[in-house]
This record gives sequence, C-alpha cells and structure tokens, in this order.
Amino acid sequence: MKPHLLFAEDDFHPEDPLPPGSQSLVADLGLAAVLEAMGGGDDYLRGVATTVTLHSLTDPSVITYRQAVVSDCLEHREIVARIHQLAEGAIAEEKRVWGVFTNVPSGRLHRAVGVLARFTAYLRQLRTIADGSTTRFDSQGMKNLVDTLRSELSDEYLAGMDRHLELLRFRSGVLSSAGLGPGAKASDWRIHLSAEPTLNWWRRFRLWWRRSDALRIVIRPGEDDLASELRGHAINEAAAALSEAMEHVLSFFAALRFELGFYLAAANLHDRLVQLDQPTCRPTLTPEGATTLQAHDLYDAGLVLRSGTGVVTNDLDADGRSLILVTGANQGGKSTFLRALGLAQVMMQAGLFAPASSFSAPVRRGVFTHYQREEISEADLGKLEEELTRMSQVVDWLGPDSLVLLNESFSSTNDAEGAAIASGLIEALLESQVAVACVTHSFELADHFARAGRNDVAFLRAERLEDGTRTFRIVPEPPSPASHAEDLYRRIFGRPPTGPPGDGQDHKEIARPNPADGSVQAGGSRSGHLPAGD
Amino acid sequence: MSDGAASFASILFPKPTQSTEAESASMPASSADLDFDQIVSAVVGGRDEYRLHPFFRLPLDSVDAVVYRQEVFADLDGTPLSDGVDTFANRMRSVRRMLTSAEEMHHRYQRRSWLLTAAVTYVEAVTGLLEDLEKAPISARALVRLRERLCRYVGSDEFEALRQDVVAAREAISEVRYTLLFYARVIVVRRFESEADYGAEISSFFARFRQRDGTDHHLDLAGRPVMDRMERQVLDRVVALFPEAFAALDRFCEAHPAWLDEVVVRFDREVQFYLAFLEVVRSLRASGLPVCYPELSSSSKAEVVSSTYDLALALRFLSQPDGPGPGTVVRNDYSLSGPERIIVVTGPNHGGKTTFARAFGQLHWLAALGCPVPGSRARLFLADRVLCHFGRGEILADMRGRLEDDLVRMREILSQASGASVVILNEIFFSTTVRDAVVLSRAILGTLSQLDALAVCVTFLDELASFDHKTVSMVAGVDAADPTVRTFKLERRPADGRAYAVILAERHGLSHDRVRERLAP
Repeated sequence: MKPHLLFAEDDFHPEDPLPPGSQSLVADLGLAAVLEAMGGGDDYLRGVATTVTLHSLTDPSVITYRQAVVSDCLEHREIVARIHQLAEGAIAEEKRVWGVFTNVPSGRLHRAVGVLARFTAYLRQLRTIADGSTTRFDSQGMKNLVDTLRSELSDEYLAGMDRHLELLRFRSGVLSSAGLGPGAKASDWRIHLSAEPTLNWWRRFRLWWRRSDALRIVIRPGEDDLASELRGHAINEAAAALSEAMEHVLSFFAALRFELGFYLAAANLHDRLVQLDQPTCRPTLTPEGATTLQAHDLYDAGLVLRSGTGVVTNDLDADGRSLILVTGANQGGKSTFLRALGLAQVMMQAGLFAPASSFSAPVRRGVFTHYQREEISEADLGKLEEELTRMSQVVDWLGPDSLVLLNESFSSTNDAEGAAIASGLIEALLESQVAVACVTHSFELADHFARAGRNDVAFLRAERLEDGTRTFRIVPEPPSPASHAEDLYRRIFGRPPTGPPGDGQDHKEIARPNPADGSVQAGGSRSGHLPAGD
Repeated sequence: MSDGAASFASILFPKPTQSTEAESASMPASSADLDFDQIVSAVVGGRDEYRLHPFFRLPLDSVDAVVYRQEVFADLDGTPLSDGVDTFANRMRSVRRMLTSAEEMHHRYQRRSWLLTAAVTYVEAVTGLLEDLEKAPISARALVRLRERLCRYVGSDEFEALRQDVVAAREAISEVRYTLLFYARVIVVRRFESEADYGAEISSFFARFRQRDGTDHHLDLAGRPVMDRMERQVLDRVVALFPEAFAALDRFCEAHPAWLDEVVVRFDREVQFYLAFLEVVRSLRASGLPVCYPELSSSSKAEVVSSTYDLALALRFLSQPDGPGPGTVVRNDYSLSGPERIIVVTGPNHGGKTTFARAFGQLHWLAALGCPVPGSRARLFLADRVLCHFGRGEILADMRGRLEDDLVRMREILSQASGASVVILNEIFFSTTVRDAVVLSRAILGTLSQLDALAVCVTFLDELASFDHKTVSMVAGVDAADPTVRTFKLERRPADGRAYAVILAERHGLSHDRVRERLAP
C-alpha cells in the first residue's frame, strides 16, 4: 500500500544520497529561489521539493507520469491538500501519545495499541475522501492512489484492526511459549491465542489448572517484580509486532505526506509564477534518436522569483547542437541565459513544468555545473588548481548523454592557457556524447570552435547595439573578438578606461569574468538594473 | 629441512624451543625510531587476548625458519583457508567465553547447559578446521603437519565419544519447548502443543502499510545470564516436564569433564600472528599498495627492491579516513649489487629522505620475521638485527652535550653491529659544525664499510654521497618543471618544458586524451 505518486512502480527513497554535484547545481543555477517558492514558507515542503527535484529523473515515462500528476494537482488542489493534511495530522497525533515505561514490553505494547487506535480514525477519513473522489482525477498516479485507498482500507479490514487492538489488551491473561537458549535461559518466545476461543478465559484457566501435565507456580508476595519481568518476555513478541505495525502505518502516512508534498510544492511555485505573470509549459521530451532542442520565452525562474518582476526572455533554436557556446559582452545576460537553460532542464527532469512558453529538450543523464568561483578553497590550492580539482570531479560524474554547464571555466589562468585547456576538454566531452553549454568571455576559445567549422555548435552572443547598449538578449551570432568590458567600465566609472581601446587583447585584460553575472552589480539592488519583460 | 613425519608443535617455529626465546625477548631500541612499534600496534590491534607482541620481537636466525612462516603466509594469503581459520578462531573465542559463563552459574542445569554449548562449539571448531585443511591445497610444512596432527586427534576414540554425546544432548535440549500461562498470581507451565503464532498474525495483518524494512522493535531483554528466582522455578518445572532431555545433558557432562586439546589451544593463539598481519596486507592492497614475499639470502648482500614504502606511514593514512589516503604514500625502488652496501641519501628537507630510511629498516625487520614486506618485489639479505641512530635534528644550546650523547649512542650501535646487521643513520652529527660532522661521519662510514654491513645514511652532507666504492648515492627528488615541488621520491625526473597550467590540467586528468579515456564506456 504505497502512494506511488512519484514513480508508477517504485518507491521514492528520500534518504538516498543526492546525486553528486547537487550542491554546486543549486548554487550555480540559483535553484534556492525556486525551492523557496515551492516551499511557500513551509520548511518541510521546501525540503521535499529540494530532495525530489535534485533526484533528477532519466526515464521519460516517469517524467510524463509526474507531469500528469502535476496537472491533476493543479486542477484538484483542495482534495490533494485535504489528504496531505490528514497525513500530517496522523503524524502529529502519534507524537502526542505519550508512552509511559516504553522501555518495558507492556508499556510499549500499551502505547502502540493507543496510537493505532487513533490512527484508525484517520484511516477511515482517508477512505471517505477516496470514496468521494473516484471520478475526479485523470492522471494514472492519482487514480491509482484513490483505488489503493479504497481497496486496502475496506470496511472489513478496518473492523479487523479494531478486533486485534482489543485482543492485544490481554484482558484475560497472557499465553506464550519458549524454548531453551544458551545457559538454559528461556528463548525464542512466542505469543499465542488460545486454541479454545469459545471458552472464556477463566474457564479455560480452570481447565488448565486441573490438567495433570500442567505444573503451577504461585507468585508469592515479594516476587511480583520478577513475575512481571518474566511476563514482559512473554509479551515482547506482541509488543514488537505491534510497534512495527505502528511504524508501518506511520511510514505510510509519512510517504503520503512526502509524495503529495512535492505536488503541493509544485502548485505553490505555479501560483507564484502566475502571480508574476510568467508563462509556464509542460515540457516536450525529445524522443530518443531525435535532437530537438527548442525554447520560446525561456526565462530565469530564479531571477524572476528573487526580483519579483519579469525579466528578459529568450528563444533558443538549437536542434542537433551538442555544444551551445555563449560569448559576448560582460553583464550582457550570458549567465542569466545559462541559468535559465539549466533550470528549465532540471525542472523538466523532476517532472515539473518549465519556465518558458514552450520547451523541448532531450532527457539528460544528469545535469552538472562548473562555474568559475570566488576563491573558496584552502590557501594552499591555487585558484586554477581549485578549478581543475572541481572539474576533474565533474568529469568523474559525467557519462554519455549528460549535460554540463560551464561558466567561464579556467578563466583563472591567462586566456591562451585557459582556452587551450577548455577546448581540449570540451572536444573530449563532445566526442564522449556529453552535451555542453558554455559561457565564456574568451574569444580564443570561441574562435577555436568557430574556425573548426563544426555543425554541432550553436554560437550565441549577448546582444549589444551599435551605441553600446545591452539588450540582455541572447542572439545567434558567431563570436567576435571584443568583449566590451570597456562599456561596463564606462558605466561604472563614468569614463572610458585609460588608453584607447586597441586590439582584443587589451580588452581581455580588463574583462576578467564575474563569477555570477549580477552579483557584483553596483547599487546592490539587482532588480533595479534588470529591464522588465520582453 | 625436516622430514614430513615430524610431529607438529608450533605454527610459528620449526623447532619448538624457539617460541620460549621469543616470549622473553624485549623490543629492540630501534623499533621506536623506525616506527616499527607503531606497525606492531596496528597489526596486533584488537587481538590483545592472544598476546602477539613477543612474536614481533625476535628476528629469525635462519632462512629456513623464515621460509617456514612464508609458506604459511602464502597458504593463508587471500585463500578460503584463511576464512576457515578465522571461523575457527571465532569459535574458539566463543568456547572460552562460554566456559567462563559456566563457571558463573549457580543452577546445575544452567552450568551444564553452558558446558554443552561450549563443547558443541569446540567440536565444530576442530572438525571445521580439519575439513578446511583437507579441502585446501596446502603446501606449507607447518600446515601439513598440523593437518596430520588434527586428523589423528579427530579420529581418536576419545574425540568421537565427545562428539556423539554432545550431539545427542544438544538435540534433546533443542527439542524442549514449553508454554507459560500468566493469569492473576499464577503461572502455569506445560509442554508446548503447537499453538499458532499470534505475533506473526499481527505482523502480516499490518504488513500492507509497510513502506520499507523497518527497524527491529524487539526490546533487548537479555538481562542477567544468571537466572533469578522466578526463572529458576520455571526451569525446575521444565526439567520435570522433560526428564529425558536433561538426562542426556547429564550423560554428556559426566562422561567428559575436560576436553580442550593443548595443541589446538596453542595453534589458536599462534595462528593469529598470520591472520593479524594478513589483515593489514589486505587493507594495503585494497588501497593500491603492493605487498610481496621477499626472497631472502643469508649470504648475498645484493638487494633489489621495487615500490617499497614506509609501512607505518601507510597504516597511519589507512586509519585516517579524512587524511590524504594511503595511495599517496611515496614508493621507492633501490638496488645494491657487487660491493655496494651503503645508501647515502641527500636532498631537500622534507623530501622523503627519512621516510626512505625508515622503510629500509622496516623492510629488513619484517623480512626477518617471515612476514610479507611493502613493495612489489624484494630480494633481501637476512639481517641479524636492525640498528639505528636518529639525530634529533634541532640545534640545542648545549651542543657539546648533544654531540657527546650522539657519539656514545653511535659507539653502542657499532659495538652491536656485525657484518650481518642493517644500520640506519639519520642526520647524525647535526649538532656540530659541518667540518666536524664530515670528519666524524667519514669515520663512522669507514667503520661500517669495514664491517661490510648494509646501511642507509641520511645526511645533509653532499660529500658523503661518494664516500667509497661501497656507497650508492640517492637524492630526494624535486619536480623538474617546478623545483619548489617535492616529489618525495628518490629519483629525478626529466624536464618536459610545457606550460605550467597545461601540466596542471594533465595532472588532474583533464587533458583531451585523459578525458576521453575517463569517459570511455
């Protein structure tokens, strides 16, 4: 009896370790804002959203399974929320039942009986909700859940539960058996019901008393503690079995709470984006063998949520391209574009909607990031060494059909060396069927691929108008040698950089990359600088 | 070599008398400088009850005695037999524990029940070990003799009678099952009559809610091993209800008052020497460090060693999961041929010189114990003792006192050294002027050269490197591309002249070809 809302056949294992690189992924893509919106102020929901989203799917059929459940939950949100509330309520109920002496079997048994008795009320309510929603849902996931609740929580079953809980109060004595363990101590205890259920316990007991093969021990005053210790052994099996039963029911409620939680979190996110007037879409999964990679009105959902306003959207037409290479002006929206692309991919692979008016992409075997970072390592590792160490780790995680997002990788060494390392690496990745999206200020690197005349590369540039204005749009265009850092310099300093701009080399000296576009913007308020809407 | 029919006494010594020498030997002074005491502690750790330290104190005096142990190591190294011996040892440990328990019991049948369990385990231990020895393709003399000895023992009438009585009593006791009814102030005891298991019914009723394997909810009620008054009353009634079973138990106890065999008990202790060392060997290999069986000679001092390393350092790294990892331990090769006897090691500070010197000493010590050694290949001379002098490295105000102390210790070492010894000198005479240090060191090297002893001399004095035809010079390496980077390896690397960044990338496995290799399916 499992919710199976996240996988049609399998359980979700929240305790499984997150895929490697998850921490970087969250930081580099600005995923925190998205997860925050999913939580909607509830830490538990935020945790569920984080775990499920980061355990990226690779099976297209599971993605479409979840997409359907997401639609159902957006449609019938109140039913979903009621079931979720019940699960939450049952879990809270368990915590309210105090156990006295739960370090001895009788106390433990007593508590388990009490908790399960309260659970039966919640189970009956679940049944009622299920009975009332038989025709509401369209998704296989929700239909299955309703069917499961109705068949597994039948009237007969619920009545049986009441009967067991009554028997386990042992109102008429305890019957148990044991064998001889090491040192002749009683072992292998078992608990029994009488073989003569029609007799009442007192008459059965008298029957026993008279039997010649039955020997008696009369508990004398002062032996009560010893006797109850022995009785504890006798009911330990029952206490263990019922405590386990309690744990199982609890784990069922927990699974229900968790799995529904993800869809409630999806609805929260959807609400926020609708509120901000942003489009969302159900992503189209590119079938195996095809190479469609298309996006319309793609935007950085994290940026929208952080800034509380619409931002520039972009289109992408990159069918058959396994390398997307974005060059162009600093502060021109390159990193924002890369984040938008990464986020859309990650959300798609969690079964969520995508932040775009349409999004078609192949399902990737893992999404990874390598972003140039501020110095974060210990002092004995040079900056380049730190970058290389991280990249080597990423290479360990990569495989065919995975996607890696590179943002200004290897810019901690000079342009020529950085480009030499990056071009060799990227070529090797492409040859190994790894898809790459790369943002770089390095003309050298971009030019390397431009000259190679490859048809599997999409060249994009941060748009810059004749007068030097940035539109923050990313447009298809081959790389050009200047990186326009002087524009930025001019904007911040209010005057051109010293000396007339010469060839591209000079510009590159000034245009050291910023690890995350926007993070060093003057003025502190990000949104203030962001042109709204499209 | 002994004849095949020789009787078995010890798995460690071909001649039984040697074991008593080992018991009384003390740990040589050099063990601390060589970190050999750390190695021993790591090896015998967790096996205190076997008192293994003495076995690591006494170097063996003949190649034959070394081979006697190497044979056993080889037969136990990663073989099913080693698991078999492990099982045997675990059973023997249980036997000892059970016999102790029996002593502590007051109720006659509690005591007898423990004796029975101990005997059951002992019979399993002995017969299991014999079975494993018969299945295994053993070639070690020691193990062949042990097998013969066990074969005779297990075949004896006495053992057979023990086995039969044990089996009969255990079966009878295991069939006892009784029912207890608790009601009001009375407990009724009777024989079990196949009542249904209600606990199982509960479990299966609620199983539909199960999401994953839950935790075990049984309270651990083991309590005291000695029964209380209530338990004793129950046991008395169980004895009355099952007289046949307890009669079988009585029969076993009265017929077999004592059954531990002396040779089995001794083997149980001594074989731990091998198991303990092999456990270390396993974890070294698992982390990619080579271990090999050295080929020893008591006459030739020509040595060839590949990929050896400081075992104490490797074990320290192994025990620190957050550390650099044992794979980073530097490995070195060396060889001595013809007249070569003394390796003079020079090079930058903290360049791996002392580590090499320790490794050299450990190598000879381990080899003389019959143990496998760190390295992928080793041909070694069987040393009679390993002596060492480690200078303290720091310069003290009282230079004269320190120098005097150095010289006194040096004299002691040289008086113990023979042509068959291994001598390790580390930064000697650090506490005097360079001129004096050269003079004194040359005198010491001259003595060693005359003795014809094998030696390693770590020094900052470059001129010692070419002392005479017996000295070999080795230099702690630096990276040719960047002289500030130490390789900790005693060799040089040719310069390759590429840009530093690209070399770095390659070192991180990020060159085009390396990435292709790493991502190959």
